[in-house]
Amino acid sequence: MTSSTMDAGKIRDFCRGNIRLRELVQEVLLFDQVNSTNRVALKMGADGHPGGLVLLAEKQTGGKGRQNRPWFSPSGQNIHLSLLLRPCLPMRDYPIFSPAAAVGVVKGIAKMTGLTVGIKWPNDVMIDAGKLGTRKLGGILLESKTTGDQAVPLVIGIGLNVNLDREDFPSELQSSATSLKIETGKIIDRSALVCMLLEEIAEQVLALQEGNSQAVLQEVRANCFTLGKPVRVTTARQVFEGRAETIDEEGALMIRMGDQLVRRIVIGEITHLRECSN
Amino acid sequence: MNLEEIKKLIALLNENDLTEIEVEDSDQRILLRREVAVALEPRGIPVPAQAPSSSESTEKTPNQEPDSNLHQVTSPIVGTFYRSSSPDVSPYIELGDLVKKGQTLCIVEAMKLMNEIESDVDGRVVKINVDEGTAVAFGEALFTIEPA
Repeated sequence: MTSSTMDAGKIRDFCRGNIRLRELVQEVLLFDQVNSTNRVALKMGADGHPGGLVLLAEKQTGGKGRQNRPWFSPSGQNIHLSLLLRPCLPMRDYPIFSPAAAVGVVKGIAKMTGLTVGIKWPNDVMIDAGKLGTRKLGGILLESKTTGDQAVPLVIGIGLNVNLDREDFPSELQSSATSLKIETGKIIDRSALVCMLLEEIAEQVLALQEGNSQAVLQEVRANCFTLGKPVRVTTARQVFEGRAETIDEEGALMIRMGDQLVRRIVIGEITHLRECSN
Repeated sequence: MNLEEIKKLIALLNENDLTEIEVEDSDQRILLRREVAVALEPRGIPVPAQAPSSSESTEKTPNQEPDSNLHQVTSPIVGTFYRSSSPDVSPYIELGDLVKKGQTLCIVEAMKLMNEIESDVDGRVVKINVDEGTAVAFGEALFTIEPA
């Protein structure tokens, strides 16, 4: 395991010096340790923060994924980042921010490392491990609050495995997760990577705010590993299988179940299945 | 489910003056509503031109509540309804609870966006309109609250 602290000043300077990025980000905070960057950002949003905030932590003691599942968040190795926004869009348009953020993360990683990474719908960040399938580099969890019709804060939380070695992962994650260091063989400058991520996320988020959601969804389709694959969909009430065909104009995944039936998915967990071999 | 079966469901809905009908089997579920019909997951099913076009809508008008004193908390997005933050913890609220404005009532999830829905009034929860883990439409009533 290797360790060096992030440089909040470098990230702030980068945000200020980038015309597009400074439209989105006005404040960068770096904490040594928090419970969860999403939890802190959501609380700040609920307390009236105007948005445009990047919140980073070297360590999370209560990092979480979907349905409060724990997110492995060791100190000084990974990126734990939450972006607090107040989009000037109706709440019903917020879900598209999920794959849009994933596009930004994927493009930022590609720019920094040259790796080919992609999205498992709606927003897991994966690397193609050939015959081993795909391995997870990171995840994204968005959270918001709604009270009546009030404009609400949106928090985009990103957890990315950066400088971990294989043995640093808990045993149950070693076959399914990976890190940028494992994939590149190099220690990654996390501050520089955060800058690349924010620059690319800003492109996608600002495009959504400017009404260009279809351009963003084209990027999602172009970077989505799920499309064309046989998949299993697990929802709270059922499990079914089909082939991921496309992503529609609202970001939903279209699954072909047979000749006559295509199902539209906005919820549920996707598992990529192996192709049947003859 | 084929088109003929869906047509029969629509006829059943109209003939019996029902407001909604839901059918589920091992691999699909269809929910039809009159006036404000919502086709949830099987949106890709080809629907003939003579079928009610409203069955393809993902929007609905707010529920009409006969008792104007009651307040409806509605879903701001299409998604899945959860009464708690994770399966192993208690629901945010139970039927009959007194709630305060700003108190979290539930989560509606879409594409890994977890949206906490807060009450916009003080009052008592007199109806929980949706079952745990079911799909909800934009504008669908989730809770009925009797304002304090």
